[in-house]
Amino acid sequence: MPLDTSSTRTIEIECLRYGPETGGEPRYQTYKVPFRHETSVLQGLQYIKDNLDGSLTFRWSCRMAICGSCGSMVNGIPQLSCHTFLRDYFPNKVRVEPLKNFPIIRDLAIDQTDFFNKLDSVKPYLIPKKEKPISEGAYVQTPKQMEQYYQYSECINCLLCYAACPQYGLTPTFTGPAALTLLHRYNADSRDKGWTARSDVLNSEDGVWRCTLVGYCSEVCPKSVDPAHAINQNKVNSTLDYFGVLKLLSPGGAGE
Amino acid sequence: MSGRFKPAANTYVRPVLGWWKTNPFYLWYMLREATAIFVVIYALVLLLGLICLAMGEGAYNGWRAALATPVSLVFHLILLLLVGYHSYTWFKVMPKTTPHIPIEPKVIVQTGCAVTAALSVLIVAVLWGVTR
Amino acid sequence: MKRANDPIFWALFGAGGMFSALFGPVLIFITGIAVPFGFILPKSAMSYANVLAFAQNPIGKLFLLAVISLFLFHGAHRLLHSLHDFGIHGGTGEKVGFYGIPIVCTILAVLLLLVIGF
Repeated sequence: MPLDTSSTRTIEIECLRYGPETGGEPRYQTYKVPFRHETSVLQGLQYIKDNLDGSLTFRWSCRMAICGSCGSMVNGIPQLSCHTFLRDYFPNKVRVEPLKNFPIIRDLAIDQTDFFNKLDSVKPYLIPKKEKPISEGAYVQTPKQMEQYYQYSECINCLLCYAACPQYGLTPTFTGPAALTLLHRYNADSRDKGWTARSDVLNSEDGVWRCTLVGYCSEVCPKSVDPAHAINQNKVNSTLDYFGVLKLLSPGGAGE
Repeated sequence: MSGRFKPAANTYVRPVLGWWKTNPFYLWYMLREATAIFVVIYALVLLLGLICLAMGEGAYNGWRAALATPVSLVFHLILLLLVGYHSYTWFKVMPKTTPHIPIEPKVIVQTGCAVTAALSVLIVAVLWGVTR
Repeated sequence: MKRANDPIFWALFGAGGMFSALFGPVLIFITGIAVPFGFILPKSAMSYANVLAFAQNPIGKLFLLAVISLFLFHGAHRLLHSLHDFGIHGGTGEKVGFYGIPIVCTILAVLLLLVIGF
């Protein structure tokens, strides 16, 4: 039986509301939203803002799961709202809340400041042994060398992994999944020699050691970056570094 | 928070405690971690046995007799179930701790479980042969 | 940034985890289910004479020590972190308490194994 893709049905979307001018406790507001087979949660929110309540605040941009702006909790699960479809929840209500473990600025918009600082702290750029002038030509890298880090470079900074991570919720000083993954991405790049520059962060109590391998970060990642793998393979590296034998024994060429 | 970016004003911070009750994924994680309790309990049972062994035949046979009770049997069946679950989840999680290698995680999990099963059968078989 | 001393205990946790994953179930089966009830293996397998001989053997000693010590270090590390999961952020006192038990038990096991002789 073919899907009836043209029919319009109505679903209830319940949104968390909070405003810094009024402060106090957040409240919930429910809206009745028409939707079709292909309508995303994001489009539902846009319908609300355009037709029902212009004050509803939420972030979005590309609407195709690549910019990382529209992350929110949909029925308690961290999702990209452009990548989540109302048809999968009908006839039940859809509850949309801001990403967990972050302070709420307004409605569905969270304060990402802490993440930006964490990103800064991991030095997310190539640190070569010696600066190479353009006249000396390009860096050369084999496909096998690129394979070592490429997956970890796919992160769109959507913060779903931070919402998923209970350790970040319990201890906000934790560097966190995406930042540590990016740290690993640069360490694993053959053009980079920045292990020592980043080791303070990696080896600290708020580095890899705050992670208890809950693994939910990798479950929710929309780009299959697998932050849990990036962090936990570095527990071995951090241990070898602790005993001063990293360069000697490093499995992935780490230590420089 | 430290860093060149400063936080926004008058934000609302939601409470975090009870986080593990909010999602089945978290509940399974808590169970996985809780299996460590049973690993510890079994080690203490063995330590008790070692203490009794050092104290002499009388004390040791007392420990042996305690193991032959129905309560002990049920207790050890529960231990077996939970430590077995520890085994399974240990290998399930192992692929995340290896370096970036071109082996599918599924293979690591299956190999770990297979080795455990094979080793277990081997040990029981050898013990059976030696005590016949 | 404070450098974590976790590596020492994590390494012990890892060794204990691997050891208990590989040997835990079969050991529980043998000592707690099979032998006491004569199921597959005879009750005499764990007689005083047999077990004493095993414990007096240097390899037997090593095995017993590894099982007791590593299983306990594994548990201590994991349970300390589980406390944190429940929101109980302990400090040095808790670490001493949790890691102290496997340390004391390890020393006790070593002493017992020496007392038992060769």
